[in-house]
Amino acid sequence: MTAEAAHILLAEDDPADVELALSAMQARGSHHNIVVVNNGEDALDYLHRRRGWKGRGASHPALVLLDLKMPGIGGIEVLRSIKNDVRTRCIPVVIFTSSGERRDVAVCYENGANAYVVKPVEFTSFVETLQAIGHFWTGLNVPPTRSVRPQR
Amino acid sequence: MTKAPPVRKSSTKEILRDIPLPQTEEPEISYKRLFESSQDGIFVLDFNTRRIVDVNPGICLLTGLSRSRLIAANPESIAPLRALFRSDGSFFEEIKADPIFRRENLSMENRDGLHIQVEAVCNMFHFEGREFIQCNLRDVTQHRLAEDQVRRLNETLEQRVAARTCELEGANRELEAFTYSVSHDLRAPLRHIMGFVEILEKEAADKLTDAQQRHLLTISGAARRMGELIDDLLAFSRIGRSEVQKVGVDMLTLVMEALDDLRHETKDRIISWKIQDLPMVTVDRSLMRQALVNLLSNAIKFTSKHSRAVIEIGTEPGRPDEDTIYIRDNGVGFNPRYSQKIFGVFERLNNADEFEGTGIGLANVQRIIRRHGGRVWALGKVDSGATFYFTLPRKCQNDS
Repeated sequence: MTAEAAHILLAEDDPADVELALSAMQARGSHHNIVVVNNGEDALDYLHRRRGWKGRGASHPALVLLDLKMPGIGGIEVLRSIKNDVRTRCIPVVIFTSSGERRDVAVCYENGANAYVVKPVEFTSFVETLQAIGHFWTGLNVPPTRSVRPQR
Repeated sequence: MTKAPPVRKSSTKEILRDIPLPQTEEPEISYKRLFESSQDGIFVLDFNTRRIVDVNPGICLLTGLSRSRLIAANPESIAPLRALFRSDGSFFEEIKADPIFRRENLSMENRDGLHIQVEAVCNMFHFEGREFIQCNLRDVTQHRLAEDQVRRLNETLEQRVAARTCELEGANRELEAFTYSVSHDLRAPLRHIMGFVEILEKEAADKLTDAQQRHLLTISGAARRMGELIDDLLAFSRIGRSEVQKVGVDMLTLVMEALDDLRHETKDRIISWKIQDLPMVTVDRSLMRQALVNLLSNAIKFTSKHSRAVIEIGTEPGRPDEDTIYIRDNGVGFNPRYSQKIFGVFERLNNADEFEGTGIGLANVQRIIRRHGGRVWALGKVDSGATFYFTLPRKCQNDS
């Protein structure tokens, strides 16, 4: 674990889902912070410290929790951009979406998603799922401290 | 009397008037009758004089010329017959070299001045030291038209199949897009309903009356139910879209796997299982397992009120090209009037509070069995159990 508190970047355009997610993840005094962005552009700007995010802390989020269906740059494009960029490709990305379509699952894994979770419809499961994700990625998982550059 | 071909514009009586009735004796009489009654136009030529020596009524009808006009005439001088003879006289040379002469596509004018397609077969024969040629002409116009039409249809058939396939693929893509948006868009509002009802329950519980709290429960129960319906509908549509990948497998293994999936539904139950020898089948493993899970879970569910549940799985003799498998229970059964209806999507014959479930299971079963080229049906009576039958074609036939 790093000294800096681990944080999660939540990319989600639906305000109701944002509210439910925040309420779920903060339900039992979680140790992680959550940064919310509402679209794909903001997610990438945040990760690359662009525009409004120039002054943010140096560390990458412990996890990007990514919705698929967002206006403008969609989840798949954000995922591709993260995984194709040597500066960001080691950041774990968990897809968190309503769609359980096999095609979506396949496309996400092919583009380097670290996990794919379907948003549960029931609130109790929704809370449990988000807490489990938070617990695993910010508590149990050990991320690399910096991106590994290709050795060539 | 001779039998006239279908009546055409000119008067048949007129043409046939001067044809004498056959007067020959046996056994020639039967040949003569064949000659007289043939639908083909027949004429006989003397090879040496190149004159017509005999005609049948058929040739008179075909050319519109009477017997007296034809007899003793040089056929090359008769317009409708001219097509048969080349101006260079090669006809007579050819038939001399090869006594069977055949022309398939002669075009000539019939008695109404219409162009018709004629097939000619001529052969040479000897009679009392002289040489004769018998020519049979058959009107094949209709035949050729039909052939042309068949050829044209065949040519366009492929195009039509391609166009239709394209259309169907388009429809399929549309359906897929629809399913996708259902899965994504309908679930989100449900999640919000359930989530915020729950938050409201927690945050405002002490301010709400019992009735108001019950309303909240009703809302979240209804939303949960709708979620199940959507999930089931999506699974049902997925069965329709998935590819059927058939492999040879023992039905008993599939039944055992299905029962394993249903462990939690059987764990507090006493069920007497009677499982017969089951055949090897050629099926899509996961689809067939799903069908069996649906059928067996129904049998388990609808015997739950019986202290002595009996569930049988076996085969029945049936057609030689298919296996007939049944699953029989001694549960609540159903009214035989609805034996078809129960395979419909979201059809339920029992009250929702009596037996849970959305009513998609048997629709799934039917879809899976049909995708395998089989049939499914049910027999039952109220309070006397139900038997579900399905058939599977033997040997791997073309994939559906």
